[in-house]
Amino acid sequence: MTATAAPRPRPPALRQSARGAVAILLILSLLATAVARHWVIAHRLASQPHRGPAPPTERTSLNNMPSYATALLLGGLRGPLAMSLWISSQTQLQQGNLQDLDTKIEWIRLLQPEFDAVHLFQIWNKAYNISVKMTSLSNKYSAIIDAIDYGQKVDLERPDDINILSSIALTYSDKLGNSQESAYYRRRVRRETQTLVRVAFPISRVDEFKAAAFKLGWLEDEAAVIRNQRTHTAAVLLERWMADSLAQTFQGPDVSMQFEQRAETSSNPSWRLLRLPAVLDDRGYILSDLLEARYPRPAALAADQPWYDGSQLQMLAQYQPFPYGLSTFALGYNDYKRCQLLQDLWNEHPMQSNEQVIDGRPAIMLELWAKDEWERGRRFELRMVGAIPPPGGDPVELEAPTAAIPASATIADQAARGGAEYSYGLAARLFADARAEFRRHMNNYRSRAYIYFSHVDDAIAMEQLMLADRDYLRAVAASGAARQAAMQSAITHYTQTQQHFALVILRYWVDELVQAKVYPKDPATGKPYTQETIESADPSLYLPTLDAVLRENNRYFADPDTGQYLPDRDQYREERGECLVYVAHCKIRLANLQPATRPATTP
Amino acid sequence: MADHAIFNLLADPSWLGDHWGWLVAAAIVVLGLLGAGLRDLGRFSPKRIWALSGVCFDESIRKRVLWIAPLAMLGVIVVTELQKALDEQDALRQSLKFCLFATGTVAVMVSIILAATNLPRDIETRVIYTIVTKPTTRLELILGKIVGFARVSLALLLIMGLFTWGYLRVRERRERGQIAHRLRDGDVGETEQARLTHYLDTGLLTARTLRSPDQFQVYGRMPDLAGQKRVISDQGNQDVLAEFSGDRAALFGEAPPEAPADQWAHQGIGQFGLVIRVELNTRRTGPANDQPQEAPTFGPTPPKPKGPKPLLPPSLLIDVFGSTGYQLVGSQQMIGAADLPTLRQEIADFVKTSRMPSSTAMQVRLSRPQPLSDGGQGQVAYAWVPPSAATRLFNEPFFYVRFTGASDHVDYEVGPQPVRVFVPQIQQNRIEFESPGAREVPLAAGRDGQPLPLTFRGRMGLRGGQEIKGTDSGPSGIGVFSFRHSPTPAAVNGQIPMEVNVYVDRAGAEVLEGHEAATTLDVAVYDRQSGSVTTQSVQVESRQIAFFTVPAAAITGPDYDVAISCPTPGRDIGLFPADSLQVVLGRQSFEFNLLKSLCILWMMSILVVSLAVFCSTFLSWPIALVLTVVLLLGRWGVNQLADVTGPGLGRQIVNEFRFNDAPVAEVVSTSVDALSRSMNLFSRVLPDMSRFEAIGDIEQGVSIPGEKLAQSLGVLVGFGLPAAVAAYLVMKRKEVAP
Repeated sequence: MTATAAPRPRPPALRQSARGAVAILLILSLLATAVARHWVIAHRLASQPHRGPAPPTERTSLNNMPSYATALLLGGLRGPLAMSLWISSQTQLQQGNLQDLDTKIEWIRLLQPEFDAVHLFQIWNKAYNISVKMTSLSNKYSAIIDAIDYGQKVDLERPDDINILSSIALTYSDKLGNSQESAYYRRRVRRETQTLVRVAFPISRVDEFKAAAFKLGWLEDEAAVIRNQRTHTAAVLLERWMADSLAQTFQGPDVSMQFEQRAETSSNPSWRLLRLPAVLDDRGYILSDLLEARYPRPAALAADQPWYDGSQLQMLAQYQPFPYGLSTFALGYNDYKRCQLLQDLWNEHPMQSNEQVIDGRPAIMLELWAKDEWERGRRFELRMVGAIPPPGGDPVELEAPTAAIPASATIADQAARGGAEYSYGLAARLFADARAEFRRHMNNYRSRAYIYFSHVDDAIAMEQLMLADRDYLRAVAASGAARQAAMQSAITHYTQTQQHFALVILRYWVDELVQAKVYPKDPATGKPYTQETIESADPSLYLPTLDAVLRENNRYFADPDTGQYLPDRDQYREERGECLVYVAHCKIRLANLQPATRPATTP
Repeated sequence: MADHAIFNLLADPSWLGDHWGWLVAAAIVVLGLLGAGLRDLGRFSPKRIWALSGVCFDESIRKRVLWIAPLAMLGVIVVTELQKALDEQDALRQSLKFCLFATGTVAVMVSIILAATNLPRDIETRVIYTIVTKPTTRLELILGKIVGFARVSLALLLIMGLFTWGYLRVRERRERGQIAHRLRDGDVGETEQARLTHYLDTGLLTARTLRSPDQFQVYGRMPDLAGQKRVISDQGNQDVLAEFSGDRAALFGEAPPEAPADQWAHQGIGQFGLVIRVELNTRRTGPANDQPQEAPTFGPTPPKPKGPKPLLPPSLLIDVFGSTGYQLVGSQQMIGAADLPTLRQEIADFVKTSRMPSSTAMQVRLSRPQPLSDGGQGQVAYAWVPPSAATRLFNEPFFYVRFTGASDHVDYEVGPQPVRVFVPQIQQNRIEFESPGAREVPLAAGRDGQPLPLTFRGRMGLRGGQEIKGTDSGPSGIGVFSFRHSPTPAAVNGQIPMEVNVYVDRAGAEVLEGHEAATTLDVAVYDRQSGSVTTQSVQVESRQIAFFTVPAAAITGPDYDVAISCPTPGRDIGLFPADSLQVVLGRQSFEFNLLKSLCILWMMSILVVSLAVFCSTFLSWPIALVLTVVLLLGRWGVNQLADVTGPGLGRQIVNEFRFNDAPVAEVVSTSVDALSRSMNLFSRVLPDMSRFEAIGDIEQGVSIPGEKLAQSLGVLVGFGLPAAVAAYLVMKRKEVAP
């Protein structure tokens, strides 16, 4: 048996001084970490010369914790926890069981806050995979705006991230703007971006309200009458322009109209967005906090130089006010344009698409936004004369009925006329801006510029059409000299529209063999024009050439036995057909304007 | 008489096989207490047990185990603040789940740790001297410990239960306020409005007693429930299953039971095949689009007959399914005909050429209307299953003959017995299909000896439901849920609440600007007693419960049927037999339901304490802790591996690890299989913790049935009591004090 020597105790003074040294070392380490972090952030900011000063405050929240901190907090179980949440959430989704699913997705977001790929997937997952599990359009819509809400939350935590912004933009433009159910979604976005008016009245007047509101385009599915049996009152949330019109016919001391004050209860964890939060004030201007620049534009920067100021709706400020709400494509344009600036000025690179796509998107969004305004204008115009526009279908089908509205038409709804005029004016401006955006993009990517030639030509023609329609409506409402001036301007624009659409057809939508047969000869060279050179011909030749093309098409694509035109052989029939509808619209309008002009010019 | 019953029970080996676990548990308890502990049993004193349990309880309180409760509450609050929910009800459901999960986890963990560590520590620190030197028995010691820790877990459960109740009530008030806010702001669509209004009216913390239907059928048209005729419509929208007995003697003829299969297979249907006869009536509901094309003719075209061309009768599709639901004989493997002479000719051709004719049962055209043996008129179709295919019925205890429509725009009217099956005979070189030469196969009989009724099914959807189509031009598929001998539902304000939960697919429905296009179901309640029909419409969302009510007068007796159809075009509605429609029989208070849930959790923690105390009698506390966890989770773990540990695992491992040496491969394969078998066997001895199901029902707002409490009690008694007795037996022989 051996006796082991007891360890010699350290002197207490030495133990205490060692403890103090360790404590000092720890504090110094912490300070060094803080200094290093600041240095890294400053270095990163300095590497992005266009960014400007950092935002004054940073949000602090659980989500801002880096993933290693979460890992420490969860005792190293962050990874397994996230993995199990991924597996179970995807299994649940496949089974169509949506209970707890949002919670799991939220936890994944909290556990993996730094991974863009996670957020991009979840935004897609919510907007596409979860929304498709719903049947009711309103529930589908709420799943999609939940995806946008998710994206915007991440955007707050990780601002100025090209991937997140492009994903939000994609949801606005593709899912809300271009899906099978877009007719429903687009109208809701328009409505919900506005500050709505709460119209309250006694329950006994509900039928009277319905009769008056229906004439203005009110739909009960969209803005239900909420009855309060306790107070015997009913309330409806209407868009401001509709409420203003309604006020003229539906009034009385028992009717009150007030701008809605949303009592957001988002502090409740179960709160879920069922409608988009308003982004416009009661006059249609963007709410000031959405235009608050986080990176103020340097005073020395030239006015034509682009600048990313970090505000949420920076790109829409130039188009305000929006008295009829915002288009979903406008919101898509705003985010895509921010992405393009982040790419150009901050050197950010998209993860799941290429630079060319990001660069080209703003132009396409502007074009889609303009077309959305165009369609909306057509619907307003029909309502202006007391007609009820069809609730769905192809917008091209609205051309013929609106074209037939005479210049001497009696206006049944002044608010609708105002709406139409506003929409056409904005659309014309957007087509012009889209053209400029396309040209910018084509300059950046010259090898692929040919893809956008037809877009630019379309935008020129459509801008003219929108200006013509706007002036036509002005003429309808005006009298005297103002009416004459508006009519003259409309005639000029309709004539130009016809020529431009004829040129579009001649440049893109005519078979080569037909071109060779009917295109006139270039007096300079003595050779026939081709689709590449036809633009240089005298514009007065466009329409006669188009007529010749149509006649020759009938011969060229005819069945040799029966002589019947065979549409299936005519590969450009659909594209040409759409342009011809617009040409016909102009023809009808010009015919409407001729007799109307005469009495005004001959007193 | 009673002796006889017991004798019969014991003589029945299957009874013993089913209840061997109970017998073993009873043997441990009885033999342990009567054999080894009779004296201690005689000295048994509940007062001393209570005193001992008090020591455990006080010690636990001194250790501040109850402080874990506030921590758990904090955890619950944090987690619920991080949740996201579909709607307010879902939010509360999730919160309830977190609360009860935390409650159960805390109770079980504290119970395991306290119970597994207490006895070894008492022995180690010699505290046990103070107990065993007193006039207490080891039985009282063990029971005292178990009761003591059960009191601790009860205290924890009560604290957590009170917190759960209070927290959920506060949350409920907030969620209801939010619902009111949403409804006031008009944020919700019309589908959701009804659901949220229901939550506002009934509250979010409910405990409904639900009644599921006893039977579910899908028809093509609204049936006359008093009559015998049923309709399936169009091509494949519904089908009919008739169940037949798979009795070998009936199908293959008499043969000695021990005869090899070959001997059976060459007689009966193995020799002559099987003939299926379907009789029904049809009615065109639209233009005929299944008329055969005229064959191209050569030479001069004959003049077309004047007047409309007579329509050919509609077609059917016939096939045979086995008892497991898999298709045994496909329709393309049978020869079909509209009459017996044609069938005979087709069979003769088949025998000569061994090639299936073009007229298989894939699309058997029905005969024209003809008189039937029962005096009525009907159309018939025959299908002959060749012997090679018919022998597949050899091992089937029963089989189904299925038929479905093969023509569009046709209603097929089906009588009570539309299908008959015969084993044909050859007599004087002529094959006889029906009586007298042929032998008819009987329909399968139910427990009451009566033939089983037909099964009418809807088209099977990809998600497992039976689908009906939504049309605005009359119903195209109706699901009928039948309730028999049901307790009368309790009416609330003169209304009987019901719930419907279906899945909905939008199939290319047009979307109009500003229109939500909600999916509507038409519900009709047929009261068998009064003969009244009550209709109601309800708007539904896919896989979400929709609530509706019918007047109390709609159901006056125990038997009633509820029919569901969809008038919204462009929708496919998926119905599930058990849970797509349920009737709310009554409501309990949420508090009582919570109490039941806590009761189940308490029983679970008592079992945990018993097992932990048992393990700690012969193991050191860390090992006892681990063993207790293994005992508790063993069965669950093996169940999770059920798919992997089935037969053939050994062969699979040999293949995957590429054992090329045959003897080694054999050893590995058999060893793995033996291990897998023993693991499965071992798991069956362990307690089934899934019986302590305390959360599922209450989180869905359903009243926990008494059977669940009984099940939990059964597991507690079956495992907890023997564990306590075993712990006593070990302790009795253990030297713990000088």
